[in-house]
Amino acid sequence: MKCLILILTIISMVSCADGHTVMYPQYGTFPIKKNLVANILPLDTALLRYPFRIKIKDSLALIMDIHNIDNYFHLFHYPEMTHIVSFGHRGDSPEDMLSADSFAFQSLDSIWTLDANKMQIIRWEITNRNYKVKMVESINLNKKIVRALDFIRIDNDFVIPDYLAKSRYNLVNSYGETFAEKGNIPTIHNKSEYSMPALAQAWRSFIDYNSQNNILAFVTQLGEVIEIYNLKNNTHIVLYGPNGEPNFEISNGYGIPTGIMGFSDVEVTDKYIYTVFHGRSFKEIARKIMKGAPSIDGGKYIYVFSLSGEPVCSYTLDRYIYGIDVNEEKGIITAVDVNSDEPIVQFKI
Amino acid sequence: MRNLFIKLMFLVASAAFISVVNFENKKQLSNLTLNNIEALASGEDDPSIYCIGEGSIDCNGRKVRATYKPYSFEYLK
Repeated sequence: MKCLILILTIISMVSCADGHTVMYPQYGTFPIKKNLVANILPLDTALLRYPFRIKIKDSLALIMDIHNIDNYFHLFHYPEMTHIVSFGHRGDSPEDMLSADSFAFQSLDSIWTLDANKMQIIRWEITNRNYKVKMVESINLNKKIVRALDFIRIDNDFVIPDYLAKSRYNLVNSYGETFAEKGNIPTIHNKSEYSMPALAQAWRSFIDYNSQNNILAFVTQLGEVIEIYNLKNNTHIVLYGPNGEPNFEISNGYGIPTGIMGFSDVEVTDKYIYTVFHGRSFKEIARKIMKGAPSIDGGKYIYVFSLSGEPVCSYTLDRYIYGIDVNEEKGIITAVDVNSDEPIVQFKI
Repeated sequence: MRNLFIKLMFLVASAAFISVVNFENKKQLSNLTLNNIEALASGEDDPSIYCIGEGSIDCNGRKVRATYKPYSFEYLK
């Protein structure tokens, strides 16, 4: 009898090794709800095709256009929005970029960009006199990382989530070598039921970090999940929204989205976490495209959370946007709208 | 006592065998999915996934509006 109990114990320990289910707190309504009307910032050029990200630093605005025919990055004077220079040429030659997936200002004259298809992080330098841009540093990411999804820079290292999902994110040094792997994908499902790369595709997240408060935030591109890592006191908060975690089905190892388009950008300021939320189903999106019907792209909600994850405010916009830049001091959110010929807009909050 | 020792050895061996089988299964799956991720990055068209429109979802090295399974006519209804 004792032997039988021992057998059952060992077999259950082996079979349930990574099959635990965890529940996470959910947010519902926001205590403050407001409608915001956009103010268009006219451009002196029509070169933008699909402006996905915008970041403003002092007198410069940098826009990442992921479907531009010639260049991925476009620098403008701010607030005039007059075009200065474009860089990050799209192409197959060694000095070209295969894709543009994220960028970050290091300083006014130095910008980091991520090329996920090439698995390269590149630093560009802008000369102050004539605004010429040149590539000054390229970091080839190590083979342990399988397709970097986004990045942020902390001190001299990089935080990089990838498609392998052995962890939630990799810590990579300035030589491109992984020196630590942190966290796990906070799915409530049994991970052993899925291939991890398919799960990681579905859980693709955008990230941002604020060095003043050490908050690193993740928002999922599919579904509605927010994660808040406090890197100072090593806490991790997971919040599920009403749409829950990313839904997907697997086709030959791929994670194919079947739920909703979730968040498209996140910014951690000194006080709050700002996110752009879409909330439209892929079924509806695909059906409209297949029928040739016009299909609006982007999110019309900005959700604001406290640094500890409490819902603070929900803004409903008069248009659909992708990326945002938040100026908390001036109470201005600058956004990019891929649907419009006047794609740069501002909202007063 | 000797019988108990033999039984314990048998149990440990069984547990180790189950672990190895699980690990090998995951390893094979992982290789298949890794190949697919390589295709995602390289831009090769993979018939196991359809990429439609122009957007921000990764699909065969491109960024598209939506992806779906071949013969998944659910979307057309």
